[in-house]
Amino acid sequence: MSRATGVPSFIADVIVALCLLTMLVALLFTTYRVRR
Amino acid sequence: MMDALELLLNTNLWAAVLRIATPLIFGVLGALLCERSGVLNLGIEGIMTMGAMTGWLTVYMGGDLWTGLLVAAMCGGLMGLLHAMLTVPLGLSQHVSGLGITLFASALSYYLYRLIVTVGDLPPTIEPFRPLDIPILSDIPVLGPILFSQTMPTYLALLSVVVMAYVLARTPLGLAIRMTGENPHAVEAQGLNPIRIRIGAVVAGSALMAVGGAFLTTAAFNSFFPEMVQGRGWICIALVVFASWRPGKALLGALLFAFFDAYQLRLQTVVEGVPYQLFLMAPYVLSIAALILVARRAQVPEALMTPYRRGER
Repeated sequence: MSRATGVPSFIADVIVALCLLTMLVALLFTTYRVRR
Repeated sequence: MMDALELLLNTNLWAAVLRIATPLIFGVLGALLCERSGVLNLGIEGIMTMGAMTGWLTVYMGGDLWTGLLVAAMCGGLMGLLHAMLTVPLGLSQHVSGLGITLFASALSYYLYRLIVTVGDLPPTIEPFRPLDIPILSDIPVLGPILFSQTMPTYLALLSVVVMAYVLARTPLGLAIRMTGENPHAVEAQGLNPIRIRIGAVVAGSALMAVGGAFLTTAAFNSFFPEMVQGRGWICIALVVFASWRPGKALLGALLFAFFDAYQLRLQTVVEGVPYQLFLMAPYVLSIAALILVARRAQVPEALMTPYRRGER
């Protein structure tokens, strides 16, 4: 992750953690359906 | 063999037990408070790291030691609020959220540390809490040096156990917290809001965990370095089960683990011909053994890890 994004490993770890939490919240939205 | 037994008579060993147990006591009380309200907080490892870093940084930047503990508690509470918002109103997976908080809080702590502090060959240090001899009491033979020559956060940890046990068992607030962990629908029937109670318990519990982390950098050591929490958070999660969700037993569990840890450190110097890794492993193996013996009779809060949704049966 650090090499792929070209940032120090400490920032990469923060990005990974934020991605995990964002995915967790995104999973919540999959339980809803868009209605027109 | 005799040397190993003689170690048990050394007051330094028992004083070290109390010192090593202090962060565990804070951590286990925090985890216990969260779980009693029905929320598993696996963010403890990260929250302790965050507490260790922010507490140390506050003192390093010129703050008072007590201010350091307060700032650590506030930062821990903030992480707890994030966990609570994800797991209580949104009802997301408590396991994934907790592990996410651990990753996030640990990574953010290391990142901020590297960003703010210039690290040379040796990590920068602060002036930590000094052991405080309580007049008269510290002169009592044997017990004095063990119980009454500790740092202030250790006394605070022991006081926290009493306060937590009293609040949970004897006050309406404690009853509401315990009831939320057992049956949140019954709490709502009483006119209380289980969501608010759970959020409050998780925030307060996380603040306690962070104070446990801050103890490491402001009393046990005098500097911060990555990986300094060394799995104490996970031990606290196991100790809550060992304690059967009771503060008094939580204190016993923390002291037991701390004893194994302090004893193995000293055994390494006395017993020859045994690889030191075996001694390092011993506290964890013995804790698992103790957990197996006790956990089968543990009474798990009925609604632990069950998200509460209003009107759902």
